[in-house]
Amino acid sequence: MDSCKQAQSSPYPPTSSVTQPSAIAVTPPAPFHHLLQQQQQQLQMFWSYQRQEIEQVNDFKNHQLPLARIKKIMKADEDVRMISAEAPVLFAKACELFILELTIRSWLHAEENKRRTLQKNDIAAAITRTDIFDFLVDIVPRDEIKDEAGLGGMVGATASGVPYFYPPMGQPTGGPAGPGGMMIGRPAVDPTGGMYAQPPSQAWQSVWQTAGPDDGSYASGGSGGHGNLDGQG
Amino acid sequence: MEKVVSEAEELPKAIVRRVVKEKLSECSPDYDFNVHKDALLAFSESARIFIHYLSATANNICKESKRQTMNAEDVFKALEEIEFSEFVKPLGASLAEFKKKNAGKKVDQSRKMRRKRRENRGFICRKRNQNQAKETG
Repeated sequence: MDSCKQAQSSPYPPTSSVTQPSAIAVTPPAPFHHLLQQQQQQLQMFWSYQRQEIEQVNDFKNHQLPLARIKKIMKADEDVRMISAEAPVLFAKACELFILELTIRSWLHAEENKRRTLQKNDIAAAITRTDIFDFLVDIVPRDEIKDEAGLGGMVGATASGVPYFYPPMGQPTGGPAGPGGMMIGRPAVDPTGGMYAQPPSQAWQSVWQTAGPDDGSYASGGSGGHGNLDGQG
Repeated sequence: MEKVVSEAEELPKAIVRRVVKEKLSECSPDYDFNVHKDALLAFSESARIFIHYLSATANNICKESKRQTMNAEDVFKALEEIEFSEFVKPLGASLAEFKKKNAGKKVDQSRKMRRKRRENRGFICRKRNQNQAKETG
């Protein structure tokens, strides 16, 4: 009997060999255990819910580029005044898609030259080869666009042997029309300010300087076949 | 390393890097592709100019419609104009998702505000009663 009493006072079932009605020994701790279990369950549910929440937010945030920064970049152009809330979202995604496109094309060039490191001249080549990237024509200085295969002639265009976008121009080399903008047929360089009253970046301004006699082939190449976007009216 | 002369805002390098590297590992799953530092800068700069390009185009379209605020429609039209029409579909999907998420948020927020106001009112009433009780008591 005494041992029974002792057993009862301890919170956990005693290890003594004296058998006792387990109900008596366990009754005080039972609700406590049960509570602990409940708590644990609740905690587990809480955390799995939190994780789900976080994952969902991440799915959406995978357009990643910070909207505020994008808005600032847009606003660097004084012509741009008010922007709806949706616009930066679209721009973020568009930017991402654009980077992906540029990456793929640059990668192609690196592969062609049997390299496993993407270099600036890969990007330059991608820009030169791709019509719709003509607006980037001056991001990368000309000397980057050297063809590693060592083929001469039209820089970039013949690298892969495919005469991509260069329609037969009257003067394929030399004697450019001058920095009048038509050789580099982007409205951006339209002196009457078709699209860009104020070039938002240095890149645009330097376009004027690069249309020198030396750059004949490059410049004319850069205009691609789509010289004219002036019809944006 | 030369810095761009203007204090132009730039896109966060880490994010640009991640986008590029993820795509590269897709293109070349068998081996690791690296990106030269200068190349990364070129990516960032190109993306920034792209934003300007698209933005200016969309802005023009907006102004033509005699509106002040550039909206989603303007951006879609601009994409077509600069021959990036393949972007239109995925952008549309992205926008729809964004709207869905934000619709939920707005409702919750207004609910929270109403609840807060109710609670505050209750609190103020109780406080007032307490004070009155003290004064009269």
